[in-house]
Order: sequence, then structure tokens, then C-alpha cells
Amino acid sequence: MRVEARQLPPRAPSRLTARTLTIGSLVSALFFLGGVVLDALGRSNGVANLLDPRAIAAALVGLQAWGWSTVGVIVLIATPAAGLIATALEYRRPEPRSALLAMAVLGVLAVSLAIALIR
Amino acid sequence: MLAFLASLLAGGFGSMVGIGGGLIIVPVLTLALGVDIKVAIAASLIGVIATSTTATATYLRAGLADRRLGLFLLVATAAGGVTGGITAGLLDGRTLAGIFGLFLLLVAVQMSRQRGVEEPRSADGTTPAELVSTYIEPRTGQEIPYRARRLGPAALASLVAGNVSGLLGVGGGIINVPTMNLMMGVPIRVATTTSTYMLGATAAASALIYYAAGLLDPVLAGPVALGVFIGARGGAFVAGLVSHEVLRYAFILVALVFAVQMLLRWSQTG
Repeated sequence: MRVEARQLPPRAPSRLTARTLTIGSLVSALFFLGGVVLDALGRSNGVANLLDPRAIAAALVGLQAWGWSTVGVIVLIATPAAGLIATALEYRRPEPRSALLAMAVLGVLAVSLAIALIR
Repeated sequence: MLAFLASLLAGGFGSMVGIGGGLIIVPVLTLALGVDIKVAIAASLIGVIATSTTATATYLRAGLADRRLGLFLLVATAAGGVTGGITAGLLDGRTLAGIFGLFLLLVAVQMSRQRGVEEPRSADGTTPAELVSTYIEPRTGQEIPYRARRLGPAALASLVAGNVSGLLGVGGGIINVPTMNLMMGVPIRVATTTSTYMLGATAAASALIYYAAGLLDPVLAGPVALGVFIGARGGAFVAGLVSHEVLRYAFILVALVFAVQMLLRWSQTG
């Protein structure tokens, strides 16, 4: 019993999503690596407010381990969301329903962000 | 440095048994390094995202992960990830240790009963509650069609998987893979790769909650992510040299040891 060839959906391109995920992983890994090296060098003055962009930027410029690791965390958490945007773009023509699903998942992530900030 | 080495081993061992590093990272950070369990769960979630984003890029290029199916289930899984993250914030560390211990016991029992999963056969006739798709079999290079059934019940199971992921920081693969393979009839290769694709967004939804609650220690999460990333790649290589049965029994043994330790922690008063 086989699936009929005519039933199969067109295969959407995945290059943009794959590239987005790879770049996000590599960038976050570089920041994490920087954080680990700085921590090993003793440049670790404790973690300040993770929700204060100015404090994070100052720690990054001031070569503080937590600042580099925090940027790594932010980039990594944002990577799946960026991947979903890339997926929505790739699916918008061959399969708009899947593009909408990708946007729905992005909506759940946005709700999560809103809940996190309100709490 | 200790967190990095622990995550390196956890990522390597986790990938060897195909279950991800979270099930090992959380107990190691908690029991061996004395890290608060909620902070350990948050760090583990970062490791889960790192594993997912890295592996998914490879799986997409190879045509192995089913994004259509993954996106359908992701809506429920990500929502479960949010509720799991919120629930974890409401529970104390002792209760979480007890839940984690019980979950490890269940995983060990499930793995001890696992006897290899047969590839499902396709069936004629399409209903609205089915998805038809294909994947490229790496051994032959052939594009193989399959049909995913029971989308409704699977979405419910995915909600539970997301909840477990957010609550315990372990990823939802232990639930997602059997759901897709056994319940939906998706080939095991597609089930594992699609589950990996789903884990990134699911863990991100939970990680945001932990981050804003101040439970995510970036200085701990960095070495964990790097350790899991390197360990998972090394583990995938070593896995080819060791029989699956040996790995399975090794994991069952480790899971049981950690389960007992977590349950002992839970049983301690105060």
C-alpha cells in the first residue's frame, strides 16, 4: 500500500531556515565562548539585571563574562524565532497554511515573552 | 569549567542514547555541583535550544525533518512549554526534584521495555486528519512517502511534551518521538529529526519565562550550551562504535541512579 504521488505536497525550500539556524547557533556559540574565556580569566563580577539592556551592553563592552554569555543566551533564544520567520517566508507560496502555522508558533513565543515581562 | 565538563559528558551520553542531554544535565548540575534545580532546568533549556538549532540545520539540508508536521504539533508543544515554565516557577525545588525523579523512573521503565520500532506502512485513502509527506532516506537517497495519522490526539500529546519540557528542562523528545512514531505512524527517522526541530522553539518559549524570572544564570548557561554542543557531536560519533543495546542499558542504569538520588532529595524534609 503506497501513498499516491499526486497526493504528495511540493517540497518547500529549506535553505533560508537552515542558514538562519546555523548563523544563530554560530553567533551564540562565539558569545558563549567569549563568556567562558572571560570567566576563566577572572573577569566575572557577578550577574546584574538581565532585563536591563544598558547594563548588558556595558558588561559586553567592559569584557564582563556575564555580559557576553547573556548576549549568547539572547541570540540563542531568538534563533528558533528567526528560523520560524524564515520558514514562513519559504512556505508562503507553495503552502500558505504552513506559513500561517509558523506565524501561529511565533505568536505563542510572543505570548510567552509578554507573560515573562508582565510577571 | 565543571559545568562545561559535566555538559560535555551529558551531551555526549545523551546523544548516544538519542534522548538529548537535559535528562542528565539537570541531575548532574543539581546533585554534583549543588546548583538550584530551577537554575539547572533553565541552563538545561539553553542546552536543548543549542542542540536543536545546530542539528535541525543539518536535518533540513538532508531533507529528513518534516517541517509541516513539526509546525502543526509545535503550536501545541510551544504552548505547553509556556505553561510548563510558569508551573515550574510556582513549585518549590523539593517538589520539582520529586517530579524529576519520577519522570526519570518512567523513562527508564519505558526504555527497558523498548524493543525497536518497526517502520510503519502507508495506507490508502486520505482523511482531513492526516498529513502526507516524504523524506529522503540517507542510505539509499530515495524519496519515501508516508502518512501521519491521528493529528488531534497527537497535538494533545505534544501539549504534554511541551509542558514536561518547560517544567523539567529535558526537551520533549521522550514523548514526541513515540507520539509521532507509534501514534501517528511516522517513520522513526522522521520522528526523531522532526522532534529535534520542534525542541528549539518549545525550549525557547520556556526559557523566556525562566530568563525574565531571573532563574537563568548566563555564566552557567554558556558552558552548558558549549558542552552540550561539542559533546553531542562527539557522542554521535562514538555511538556508531557501541551497540545500541549496550547504550540502552547504560542509560537505564544512569537514569535509575539519578532517579533514586532525586527522589531521596525529595524525601528529605525541610
